[in-house]
Amino acid sequence: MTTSQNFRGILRLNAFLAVFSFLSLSCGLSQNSLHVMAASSLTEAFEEIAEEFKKETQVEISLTIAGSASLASQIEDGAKVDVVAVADEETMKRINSTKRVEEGSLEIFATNYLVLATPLGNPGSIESLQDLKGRISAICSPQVPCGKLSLKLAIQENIDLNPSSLEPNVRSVRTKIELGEVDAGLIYITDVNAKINYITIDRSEQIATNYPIASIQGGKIESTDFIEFVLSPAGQKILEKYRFGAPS
Amino acid sequence: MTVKISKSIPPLLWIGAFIASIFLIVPFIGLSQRTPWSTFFQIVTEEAVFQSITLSLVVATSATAICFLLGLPLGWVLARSHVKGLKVIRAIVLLPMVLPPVAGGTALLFALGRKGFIGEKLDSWFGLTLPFTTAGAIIAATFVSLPFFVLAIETAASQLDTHFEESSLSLGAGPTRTFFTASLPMIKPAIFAGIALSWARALGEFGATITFAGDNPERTRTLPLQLFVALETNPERAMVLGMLMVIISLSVLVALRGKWISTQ
Repeated sequence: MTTSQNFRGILRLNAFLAVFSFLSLSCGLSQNSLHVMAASSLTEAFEEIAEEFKKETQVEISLTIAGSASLASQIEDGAKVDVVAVADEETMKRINSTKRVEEGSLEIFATNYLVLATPLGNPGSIESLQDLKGRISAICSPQVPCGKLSLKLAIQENIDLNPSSLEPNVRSVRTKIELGEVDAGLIYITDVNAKINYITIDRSEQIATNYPIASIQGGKIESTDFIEFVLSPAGQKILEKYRFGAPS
Repeated sequence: MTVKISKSIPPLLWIGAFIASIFLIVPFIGLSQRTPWSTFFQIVTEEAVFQSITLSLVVATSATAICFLLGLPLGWVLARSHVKGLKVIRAIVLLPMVLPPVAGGTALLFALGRKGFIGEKLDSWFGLTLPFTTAGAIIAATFVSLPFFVLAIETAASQLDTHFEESSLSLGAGPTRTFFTASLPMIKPAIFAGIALSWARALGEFGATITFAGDNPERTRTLPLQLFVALETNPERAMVLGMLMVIISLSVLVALRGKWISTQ
């Protein structure tokens, strides 16, 4: 008897837990928060912007950070989102091809460019893009903006990069550099930290990438306020702190 | 008696079993519905895809071979020996099964990467670097699939009726001869099950591979990595690759694991 009672109890508990976890998951995003999707390279800058925005407007920001390409895929698949910020205009065009971008909301809010980064101490003695030949190197995969930009840079400088690895995002390129697994890699100037060295590439700034931001149809009205805040002197100051360039 | 047992499953369990099966089957129905079957063959034979398939078969098969050579002794020792400290080993063996593969890949990087404590020696002594090579992808796949093989062997060896082995030993055969003539034939089904499970797991390996071996289109871009890239650039290809992996894995599991269950 006791076994069967125990069994029933466990079943009931399981059913309860299942329903409970389902409910709590589906209500995970509170009604008052604004759902913002942002490219990986914006992580720290947008976390700070979200905090400042909350102080000013009491509107909570729920941030989703991922590679621009996966953000685009998620939005194409109908993800519920209010504002999206990606690392190049091409990705925004892709998002807009599903007609989900609110007309007239699109703004360029920052720029970024690539630098040649090496592990501390530069063990591979890399001084320029030319030195990458025959070395172990990593760049972003061409499906993400930093990968597209890397290829564009290679064409501009007429260099065959021949990378050892095409990393899924710029942060994993940086990690491979930090760990010394590669002799060098191409990352954004904004991703440079104290654990790596970097060399600027002469004409890299000329092909800087523009970061677009836009609100998505059916989103909250506060979307406009958030975009305005990103473009405001307060928002721009935060972006500048993380070395993003101002839109021209 | 057996007939009675199979008919005496409580209705509640039937309901639970039904829900569990639906839960497992539904995603595959979703995938097969979205698969562009008309272009399936064309996509599978595209050069980049074909290259990934070949690479995946090489990586999964090599990893399984290593699993067999190393997992068989380990599984056997874990099942039979009472040496102190084996408890710890037993727990560590299971780690790759429960860890996120990315964590496994990171750990591999710290040990066997170019600056890892062993990898550094491999590089300076032999000029050998594993990350970004097919060998690196095989190591990542072996790391995550070895537990499946060890577990299959260990379970079988510890449930084995030791009658035959005891006779063999008492008749004067040494431990090695007894192992090969009396023990090994009896755990053959478990070996097949271990091969099936570890091969399927190695074929599906993604996280440890991309972390440790990176994504190199010629050397390390196996089917799951190709799928990951396709998901963001070419969804149709992603669906075909997903379905292809389902078909391959299911065939292997049914063929080899089915064999195991039916002979038990």
